[in-house]
Amino acid sequence: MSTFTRRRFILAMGGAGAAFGLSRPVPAGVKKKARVVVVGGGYGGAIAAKYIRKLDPHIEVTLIEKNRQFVSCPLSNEVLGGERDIASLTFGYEGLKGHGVKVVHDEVVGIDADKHRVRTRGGGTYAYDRLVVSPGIDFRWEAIGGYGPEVAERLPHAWKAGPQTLLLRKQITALRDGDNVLIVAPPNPFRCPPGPYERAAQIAHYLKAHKPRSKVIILDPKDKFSKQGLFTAGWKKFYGDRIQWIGGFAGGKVESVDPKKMTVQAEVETFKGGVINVIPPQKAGPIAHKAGLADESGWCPVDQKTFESLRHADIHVIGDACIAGKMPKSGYAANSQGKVCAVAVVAALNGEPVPEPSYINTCYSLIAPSYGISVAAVYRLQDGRIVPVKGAGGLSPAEAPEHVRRMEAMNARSWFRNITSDMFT
Amino acid sequence: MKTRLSLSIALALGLAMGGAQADRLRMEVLAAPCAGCHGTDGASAGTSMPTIGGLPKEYFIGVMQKFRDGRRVSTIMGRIARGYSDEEIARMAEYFSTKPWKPHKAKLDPKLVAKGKALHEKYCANCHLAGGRYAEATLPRLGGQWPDYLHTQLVECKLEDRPVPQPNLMELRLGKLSDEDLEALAEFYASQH
Repeated sequence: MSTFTRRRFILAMGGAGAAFGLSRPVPAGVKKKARVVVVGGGYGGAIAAKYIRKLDPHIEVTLIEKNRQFVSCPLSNEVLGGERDIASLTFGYEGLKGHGVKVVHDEVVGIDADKHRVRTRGGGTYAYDRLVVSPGIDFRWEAIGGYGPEVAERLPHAWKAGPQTLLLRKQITALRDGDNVLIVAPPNPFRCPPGPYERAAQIAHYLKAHKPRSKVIILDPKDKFSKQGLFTAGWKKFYGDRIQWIGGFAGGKVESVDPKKMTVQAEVETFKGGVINVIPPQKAGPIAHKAGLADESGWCPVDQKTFESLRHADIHVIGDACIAGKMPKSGYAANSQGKVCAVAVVAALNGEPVPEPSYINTCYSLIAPSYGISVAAVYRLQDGRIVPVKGAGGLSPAEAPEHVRRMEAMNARSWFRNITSDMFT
Repeated sequence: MKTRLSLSIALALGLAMGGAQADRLRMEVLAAPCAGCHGTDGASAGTSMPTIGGLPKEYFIGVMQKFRDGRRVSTIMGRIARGYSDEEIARMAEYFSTKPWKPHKAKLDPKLVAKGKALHEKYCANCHLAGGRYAEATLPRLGGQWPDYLHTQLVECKLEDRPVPQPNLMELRLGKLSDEDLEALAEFYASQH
């Protein structure tokens, strides 16, 4: 499949000259500048672009991203709870330009894996030696009867931060006291496993103060969920019986929605909501499917050491869209994968061995403004699969004094400042 | 003969430099994920997360070992530290020790800084030299660290179950300081870029 092998690259660089590595200045005209194109400027793509430049400034990196501004999904539940302004989650791409990344605001509509180039909606063509695709998620709209992109303007998903977040916030503030908020949770695997449950807490935080007779009902096809014990205890502590979770075993799987009647048909019962937040089942972002990078699961299989696609050579897929062993689909995971991928790309383009990878994930959830919980893991590659290191990682303790939960809430916000500065400065 | 000799020198050089690059990538792949919480190159952008870029190697190793075996209690660092071997911690220490120390960007209260300065001179200056800018194996860099982080750590040093183990003199002196004093000290050290 590959036309641009390591051997060819070394030849292109002028034989022995390539063996000298990066730090040695190469006379002009001898070394061909390697080109990397990154598709998608979120938690994965922005990091891959920056770190490739950081590790080897000889590589030309072009980041192609549809939106001029990035709005973070992590911490966007705080916008729903009224604790945060969406402006604090919004970032521009100027910082990446400072690292010498060429930023193009356009949408990639086609990838020609054989000819090594991508095509954009704006009519641009970009050739690459290595391509990094970080497309995020798309929804399986068809999975819930009566739901679709247009209905999402009435029953928001708010699972891509931005206008959808603001729409859901507006609906929650307009809710009639006594009416309920329904959250339709997705099946595994999906972006941000603790997200729907943090969202329930944040909405309940708002309702407690402003709509004391209203409740949050989570309809879930799953029988268990991320940080379940910590969430359940935290919900009870702050919101009493204001949050109700109906798991798959209790008929929580939603079959269809009726936006006119504002009802949700679950397996056993029909639920009525004043606000209905539908988080649909998910798959890799559209370009991954168009380019043939996804398999029948809807996600992209990759070599978990380098994130190179198993379906097309010289194309790497990172972030929510890829299948990354035991790593969850989270912002931190995408950041960590972006770095492993950047190292692998730089190594490949310089004819160096790819070092043994190491990955981290940390996910904070805010149950109340001063009450945070977390899950963390360090991962290694074992028999080609990403697995957590035994004896490390895990959840916040089930029992902990107030100051520990407060500290974790502070850390959640500091984490956000650091991970976004890692992306955009 | 001459050509062959210079070729072999060139090859040896190339291998050595290639090796240095490979080593750099090995360090990067291990240490760069820390930036998710501690900022690019360990320069923290967040108030409660410490800057770790520019810390002395020996100090970094000592702290990570304490986190790992539970001698130093933490919310999350222990859970992560347990994922690394001694050799990996040493490599991370090497990586971060070569990064420049970049001070915090918080806004400070000059009154508190002045109060902290007096307290520092009375109680702390014997060990925490150069306004807390000096660091070594058992002495953390305080000058220019995030004030919120310093304050929380100082408060924790005073707790009964002491999450951060302290030498005897430090414990005795901490006993003489109120929470307000600790806040002033944190502001003072933060001011010492």
